[in-house]
Amino acid sequence: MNISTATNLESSALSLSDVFKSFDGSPVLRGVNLTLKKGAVMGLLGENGAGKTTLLRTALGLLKADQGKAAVFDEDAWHMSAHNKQRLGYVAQTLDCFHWMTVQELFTYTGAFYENWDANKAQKLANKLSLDTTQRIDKMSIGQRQQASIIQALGHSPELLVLDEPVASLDPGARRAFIKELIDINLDEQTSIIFSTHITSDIERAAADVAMLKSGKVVYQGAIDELKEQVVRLRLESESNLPDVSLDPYVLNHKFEGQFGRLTVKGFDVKSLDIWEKELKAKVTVESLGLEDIFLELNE
Amino acid sequence: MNPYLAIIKRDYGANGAGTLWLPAPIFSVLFVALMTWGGTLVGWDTQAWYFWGLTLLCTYRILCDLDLSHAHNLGVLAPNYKAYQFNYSTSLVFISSVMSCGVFADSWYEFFVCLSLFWLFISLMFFFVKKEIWKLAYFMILGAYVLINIFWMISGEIENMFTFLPKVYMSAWSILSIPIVGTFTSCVCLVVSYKSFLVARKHYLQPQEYNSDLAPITWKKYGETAHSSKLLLLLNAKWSSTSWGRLESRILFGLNLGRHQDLVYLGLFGAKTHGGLLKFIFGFLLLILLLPMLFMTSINQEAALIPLCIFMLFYLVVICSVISLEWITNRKMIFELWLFDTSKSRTRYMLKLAVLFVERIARVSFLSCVVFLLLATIISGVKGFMVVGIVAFLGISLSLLLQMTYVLFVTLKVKNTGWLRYPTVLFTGINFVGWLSVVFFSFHQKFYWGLFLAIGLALVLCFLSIKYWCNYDKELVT
Repeated sequence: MNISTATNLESSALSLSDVFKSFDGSPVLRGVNLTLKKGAVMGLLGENGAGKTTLLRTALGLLKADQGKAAVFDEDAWHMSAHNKQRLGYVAQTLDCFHWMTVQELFTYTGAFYENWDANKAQKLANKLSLDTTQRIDKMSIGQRQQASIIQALGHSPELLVLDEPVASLDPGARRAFIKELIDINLDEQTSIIFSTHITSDIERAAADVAMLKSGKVVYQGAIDELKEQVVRLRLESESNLPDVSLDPYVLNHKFEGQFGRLTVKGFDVKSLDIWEKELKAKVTVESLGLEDIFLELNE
Repeated sequence: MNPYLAIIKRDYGANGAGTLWLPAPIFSVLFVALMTWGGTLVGWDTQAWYFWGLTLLCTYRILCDLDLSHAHNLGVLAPNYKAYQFNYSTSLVFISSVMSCGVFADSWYEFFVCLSLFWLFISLMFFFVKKEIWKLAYFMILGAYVLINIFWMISGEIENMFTFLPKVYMSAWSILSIPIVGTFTSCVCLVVSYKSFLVARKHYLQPQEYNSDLAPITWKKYGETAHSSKLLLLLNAKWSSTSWGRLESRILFGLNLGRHQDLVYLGLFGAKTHGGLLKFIFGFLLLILLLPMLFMTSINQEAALIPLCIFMLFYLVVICSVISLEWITNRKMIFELWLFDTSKSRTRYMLKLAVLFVERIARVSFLSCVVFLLLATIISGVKGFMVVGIVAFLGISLSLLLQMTYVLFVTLKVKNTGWLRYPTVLFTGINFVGWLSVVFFSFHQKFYWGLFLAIGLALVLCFLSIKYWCNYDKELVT
């Protein structure tokens, strides 16, 4: 089978199945299952210390999974071939080495290892992000280093782009420009993208899918729209005090105060509205939530 | 750009012109040319040993470079990066060893024997490339090699002294000079080294976890990581040291004067006493130095002091360079530590810092001197005590005064910390050799007023530098 045929048969760009990873006996990933489809854009959300960086590093074979399987283009990430490495771009949280190089030297150095490195593309991206390529890396701000790191990962037009908190150090303008660039790359080149961030608005803007990581486990993976339909807030208004009912496991959070109350429900179905109204003897209004609220509710 | 060219450019950029391995072959050629032109200051054999030593040092550097593949993301994720790095490092060792053996050998036969032995040694080092233990083994072998050379050089002049190891070496070499033995040994060595390189390559190309801690200091923004970890240590009030660590610091360095409880001390130097590996290596080398004496029935006491004094000088230059560089690189912490200190004024705070530095460097120097003094007394009795005790103590005291003047001044004034490494080591060497020579000749020639003048000058310079340091009211260059 030739390479192009094999490429077409790949089921996913990146996948993790039942992956465990611990450091010095402290578990960080506890059975993670995650799949990034080819051509999809996924945002990875999680609290500090939830294991986002470890997840991404394990997914790429930078770290070895204690248990389970991490795959890139259906190939074991730990033994990734040079061919698949050519198709991969990675942006780490910080660019912590090569401080003595100028940005241009960094691009030339990186380009030496990639067959399809496009120096013109790297220069154009630098111009777009107003990055001076003659500047030394150790003289640059953290945000500028991050921009250099992003271009470093894009210069060889990867088919899979993995970004670990790429916008954390960028100013709002640069952040918007970068998100727009991500969308363009995805639309123009069908690049699969996964990026971790704390900024939910960026995920809403750039990604169609989201994965939420909590205490080393993926608690949700799917389309953002579906998530918004499934997790909603119900506002209750009754003529008498609301009864102290036993709440089913789909209720993430509730607060009752006299005749008024609110419930955050997971796996909501419009058909169940009547049941809620009858059970609580109250008028129920459905309120949709933003991604940030959903994230907070799921992490409650 | 070609990947190999990219790696050369990377390393040249990281380590600058002073990088050891890259210009080593060039240095070798220049050195040969210079020595040939300048007459016979040193014999060809000595030159050859010099090149071989240089190659050994280069090899260490090259082996360290192999770790770089796992120290950054690109090393793990770029296609074939590790293969390029391995081929590149091996090629450098090959070029360097061929040049060294070429200079060393008087004939093709010698060249062949030397090269095969050398490759065997290097290939075994490559084989253990993923184990930390090789560094320790490497330094021990290198140290033994250096000492053998010192013995060899001085054994011609000093009868019945330290000829044990050179004799062993010469015996081994004379056996290899027999063509059948030499050829057979070389062939075996070449086959073993070839196989060993192949196994090492396979072993090296296996996947390994990314670990940014493996990056050498020249790869990080100078001192960045060390400072941040020290600051974290400082902010974490519940810092702890192991019982063994405390015991070790008390026994070996003593005179901690409660500094380990001082936040500023902790912020500057961390919880560890430095140079555990360094102490171990020097202890081992000292043992090698003294070992031949056990096999001797009579010792030329006067002559025995010479290698001991050379060794002591070498040790002091290394340890003082390390402490001075540690201080210079830690200067970034000085303005941050100001927030934690309870000194009444900025002047007192700066004075406190200067005292911490002096205490650290003086403690290490004088306590190591005590060790050498004891050894000198054991070897040469009262004469040894007089020579090492008076000359060395006085010389070292003066050296420390000037060292302090230099360090305090450059800490305030010189911006480029990375560049300072080489001048600092050079200055320390000249400083110690210079002052010890001055003191020695002053006693020898009874030129005491000159000695007093030198002491006065050193004291004045030191006083001025401390005053300048304490009253410095600008922000420090970092």
